[in-house]
Amino acid sequence: MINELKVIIIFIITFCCVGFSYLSSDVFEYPSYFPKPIYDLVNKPLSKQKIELGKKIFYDPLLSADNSISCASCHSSYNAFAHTDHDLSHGINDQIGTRNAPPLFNLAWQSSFMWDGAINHLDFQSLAPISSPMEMGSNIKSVVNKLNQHHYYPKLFYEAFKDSVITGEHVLLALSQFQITLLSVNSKYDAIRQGVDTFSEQEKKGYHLFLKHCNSCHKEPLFFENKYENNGLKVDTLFNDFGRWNITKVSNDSLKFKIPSLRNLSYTKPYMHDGRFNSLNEVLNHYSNEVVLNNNLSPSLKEGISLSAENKVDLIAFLLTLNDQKFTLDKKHKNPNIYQIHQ
Amino acid sequence: MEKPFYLKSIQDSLQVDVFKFYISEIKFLLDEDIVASVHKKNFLINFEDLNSKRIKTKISDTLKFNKIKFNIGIDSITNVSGVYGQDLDPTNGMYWTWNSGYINCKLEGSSKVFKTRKNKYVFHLGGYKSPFISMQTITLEATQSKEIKILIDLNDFFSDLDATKYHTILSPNKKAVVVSKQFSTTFYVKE
Repeated sequence: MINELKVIIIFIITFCCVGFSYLSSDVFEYPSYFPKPIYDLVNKPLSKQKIELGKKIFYDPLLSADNSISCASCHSSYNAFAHTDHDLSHGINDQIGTRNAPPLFNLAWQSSFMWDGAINHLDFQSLAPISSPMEMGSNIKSVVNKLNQHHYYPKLFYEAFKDSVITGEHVLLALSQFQITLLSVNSKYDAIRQGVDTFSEQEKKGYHLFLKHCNSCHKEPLFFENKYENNGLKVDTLFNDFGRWNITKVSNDSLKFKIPSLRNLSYTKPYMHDGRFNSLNEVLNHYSNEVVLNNNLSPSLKEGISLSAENKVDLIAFLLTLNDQKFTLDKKHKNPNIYQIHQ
Repeated sequence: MEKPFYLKSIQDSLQVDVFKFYISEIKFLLDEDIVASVHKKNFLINFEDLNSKRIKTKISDTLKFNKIKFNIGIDSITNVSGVYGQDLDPTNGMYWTWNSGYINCKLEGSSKVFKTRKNKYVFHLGGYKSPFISMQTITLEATQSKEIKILIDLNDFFSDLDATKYHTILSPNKKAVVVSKQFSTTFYVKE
């Protein structure tokens, strides 16, 4: 009896170690100063097969009606999964959308998606571009049919979900799994937080300006908040995009947009929901001189932000410490369909 | 579904092309007490799919009940918890892709009473967030038996509907809540 008991205990301990080392190794390791993720990783634990499958789907243009556009078409890994140099993103048949494709990283901490928060969960995010006639012009049913008829996807779904009949649920879960692994936690700012680097004098000045003027909305260490604010942008009368109001129809939500992350700004230009600003200089000029006053303007902007020319240079120097080049170059996030021999 | 049916109130015919809805959390009650509940939470009822119209459940022979209670639609917790499979799989076409949330009920067709393009009516009823919560909970008196037949009187539904005001609903809003309430009153148990 004693021997048997020992065997059981050893077995359990080994199992725990394996589980722990897998999750905390190269797949989803985030700094101790980050809050707990919002995505339910307990009930939907990450698995290597699901992540790899999600990555294949993410990079596969079969998601679009005419097999021309993949997720990566507008979310390029080299640009922190944003659509650099395009103010508005374009979809099938060269159609131009009305908003700037946001970068994708640290999504496990995001509780709503899209500039207006239309999507309430990462699992459902992909449905929107797949179905939008301006983007992929398809629908999840058609995607599932294509995948079921594909020569290698049923096998990959079997390996990931133990079911070779592909369902909408499994397609969306796989896409979530890959996107959760897009962690950007290796900027200079992170190295400083971890005590292995230090700010320059200029960056330090910029950091203090950031804490004073920006941190109320773009809260460190994630540099975003799951909230919507009106940041005083002039309405583009061509689109009349009222942001959050489009979803809630509550007048107080008019012209509010989701607060984006300030990480990786060098790779994710242009800025704002419609990509109207091409440089950080333009953004800071907006906040210091061009904010349009209206009833539901963010309280943090009501007093105005006063920045001298020198302040702006210092602030930008700090913002550049939030760039994470390691993330943009990380091979494990790159297109697997280029290298992999079709099985 | 193939044939239009005659609507007494308007003295004209009405065609139904799509009729699908969710029911959830089915419970059996003895007066005010819950005595049994169906294990599976959500069911998609599609009038084009015979199987979906029959729900089987196992309860004890000796169990006494006199009411059946269920939701028409999907509750808010399910709506915010990410993707599910089977009846809730988004391939069923009962999920909004541009504004997260399940469509609790789809009812589409045509009748001359609707002064719209091709006389079409389209009701996509949903919404889980206040103030536009469209899920309805109903309780029906039910006599103890092995089979309970629940019917929906669409004649009633359309008779009481102001067709000039309610004909096209495609998002969570005030009208969706009004029509959802109206829809929930048309369920009854066949004696």
